[in-house]
Amino acid sequence: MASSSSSSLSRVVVKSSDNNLFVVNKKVASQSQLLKQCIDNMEEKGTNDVILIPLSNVTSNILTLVLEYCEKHADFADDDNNNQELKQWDHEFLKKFDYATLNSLTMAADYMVTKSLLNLCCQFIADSIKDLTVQQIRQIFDIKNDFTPQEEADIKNENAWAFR
Amino acid sequence: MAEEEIQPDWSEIPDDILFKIAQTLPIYSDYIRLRAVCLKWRITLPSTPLHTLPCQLPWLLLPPSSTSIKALCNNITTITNTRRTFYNILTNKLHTFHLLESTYPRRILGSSHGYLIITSETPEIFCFNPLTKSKIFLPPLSSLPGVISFKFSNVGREYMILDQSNNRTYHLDLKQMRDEFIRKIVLSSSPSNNGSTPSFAFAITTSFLTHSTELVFCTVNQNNWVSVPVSDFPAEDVIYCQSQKLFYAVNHLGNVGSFRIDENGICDVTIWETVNSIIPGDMKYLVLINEELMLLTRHLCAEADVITYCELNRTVSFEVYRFCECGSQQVWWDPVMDLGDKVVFVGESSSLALSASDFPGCKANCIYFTDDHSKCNDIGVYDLKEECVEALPCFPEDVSLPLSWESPIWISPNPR
Repeated sequence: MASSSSSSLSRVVVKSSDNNLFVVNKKVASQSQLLKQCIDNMEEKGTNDVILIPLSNVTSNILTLVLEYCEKHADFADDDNNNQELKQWDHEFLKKFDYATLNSLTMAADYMVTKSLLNLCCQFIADSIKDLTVQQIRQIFDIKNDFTPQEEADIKNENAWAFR
Repeated sequence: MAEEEIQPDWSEIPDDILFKIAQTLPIYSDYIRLRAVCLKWRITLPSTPLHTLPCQLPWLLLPPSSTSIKALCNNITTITNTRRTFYNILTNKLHTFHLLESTYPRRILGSSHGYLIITSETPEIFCFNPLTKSKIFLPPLSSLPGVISFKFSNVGREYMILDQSNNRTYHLDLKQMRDEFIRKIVLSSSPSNNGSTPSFAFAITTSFLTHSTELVFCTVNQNNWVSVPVSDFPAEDVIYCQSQKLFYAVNHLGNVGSFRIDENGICDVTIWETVNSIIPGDMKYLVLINEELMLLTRHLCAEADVITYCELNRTVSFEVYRFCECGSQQVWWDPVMDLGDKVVFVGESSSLALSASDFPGCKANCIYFTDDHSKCNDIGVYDLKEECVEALPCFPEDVSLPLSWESPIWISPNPR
C-alpha cells in the first residue's frame, strides 16, 4: 500500500537471498548507503512505482536484524550521534547474538554499506578478543589451527612475550 | 528454491573487515595474538600494525644480572651475556630478549617512544627499539655544544669540555662521558618515523665541574647537537607535548620553559616564572595528563644501610601540581590531590601518564617510579590516596642488584 505522492518514494521492497520480501520505509532504508543509492537513482528517473531491491547476499534472518538496527537508528537520525540511549541499545543489540550470526551480520553491514553497524560489529569483536589467548580466539570464532607445529612454534618464538 | 544455510567461516572474512577489527585493537599484544590465529589472518595482517597504536603500558627493563656484570667488569669471561629481562607489571611475568646492542660496555641512558637511548665508550649515541631491533643514530657526543675537542689518542682525557657557567675547561674520559654527561634525553616521536615531520631529541647535560646544566637538541639523522638559547635555567626534567609540538623543561624553582623547534633547527624559547613561593621536594618531573602540563615533586629521605654502611635515599612521597598560566609568562602550580584514573611512570625514561582502566591490574591514582638519582634501587609505587609507597612485586627488598650500574628503566613497547 505505497502512498505515491509526487515523485518521491516513501517505501521500498527489499528481497532477501532466500526470497522473502520486506517492506521498508525510506527513512529506515536510508540507513544503508546501498539501499539509499538505489532509491536516489530511482527518484532521479522520476519513478513512482514501488521499487524492489534484491539482496543476493543477505538471508532473511540477517536482513531482519539489519533492518531492526536501521529502524532504531532512523528514529534517532535527527539526534546527535552521542545519544546515550542509542549507545546503550547498540550494546544490548549485539550482545544477543552468537559469533556465527555476528559474522553474517558484519558481512551484511559491509555489503549494505551500513557504516555505523559495521563499526559497531568490529568494535564488539575487537572488545571480545581483548586479552584472550590464541586458543580462546580460535574457540569463540570456531577457527581451525592450520599452522604446522613448526610454524606455530616459530610464531610464538618471534614474540614470546605476547603469548601466555 | 530454499538456499542451504552456510555456516560462516571467520577465517575467511574479507580483508577490509579483518583490518577494521585489527585497527580497533589498542593493545599491541592483542594484535600479535590475532595474527597467530590462522594462516589467512597472518598473511593478511602485516607484522607492524597499519594503525598507530596508543602508548602501551611500559615494561620495566631490569638491570643486567649482577653476576654477568661482575664477570664482565673483571674481564674474566669472554662470553657476553646479551640477555635482558623486561618485567610486565600486569602479568607479573618476565620477558627475556637478546639485546646485543645494550650489553656492557654500552649504557642505557633512558627511553622514549619505545626506544632505549644508548651510549658507549665511543662518541656514538643511538636509539634502539628492543622489539623491532631498529637502531637509529643521534649526532655523536663529540658534536655536543660543550665539547671543544675529542681525541681517542688523549687516553683518559679524550673529551675537552667548556663549562659555560664559568668559562673554564676540563677533561672527561670515555666512561665519564658515557655515564655522567647527559642527564636526560627525550624524543619528540618515534625516531624511525620517516614521515613528513622530523623527530627531535632534547637533552639536559650536566657539567662535571659545577653541576650546572645546559639544554641541547638535535634533529634525528642530522650531524650536530645544537645549544638551546637559554641561560641560567638549571633544568631538572623535560617532556614533549605532541599536540602543541613543544618541548617543556622545568628548573629547580618550578620555572617552566617551552621550546618550539622548527625544521631548520631554530629553537624558539618562552619562559614562565613561577609565582609559587616555594615548591617543596627533592626532584621535579614534568608529565602530560590529558594534554595538561603537570609537575611532580619527589621527596626523598636519607637512611643508612646497615649492611653496606651506605647512605641510601628512599622515596617517601610525591606531590602533583597543575600548570596554571597567570599573568604574562607566569605560572601558578596548583596542587592536585587526586589523579583520578591516571597512573604515572617516572624515572630515567620520558615521563608517561596512562589511564589505569585501559590496563586492568594497573593501580589508578598512583605513581610508578624508578631510581634515577642515587643508584640505590629506589623503586616502587606511590599511592596518592593512601599516601604510602608500595614495593613492586618484581623487586623484593632482599634482591642483590648491583648498586653502581644501570637502574631499571620504564619502556613502552612500540612496534614502530
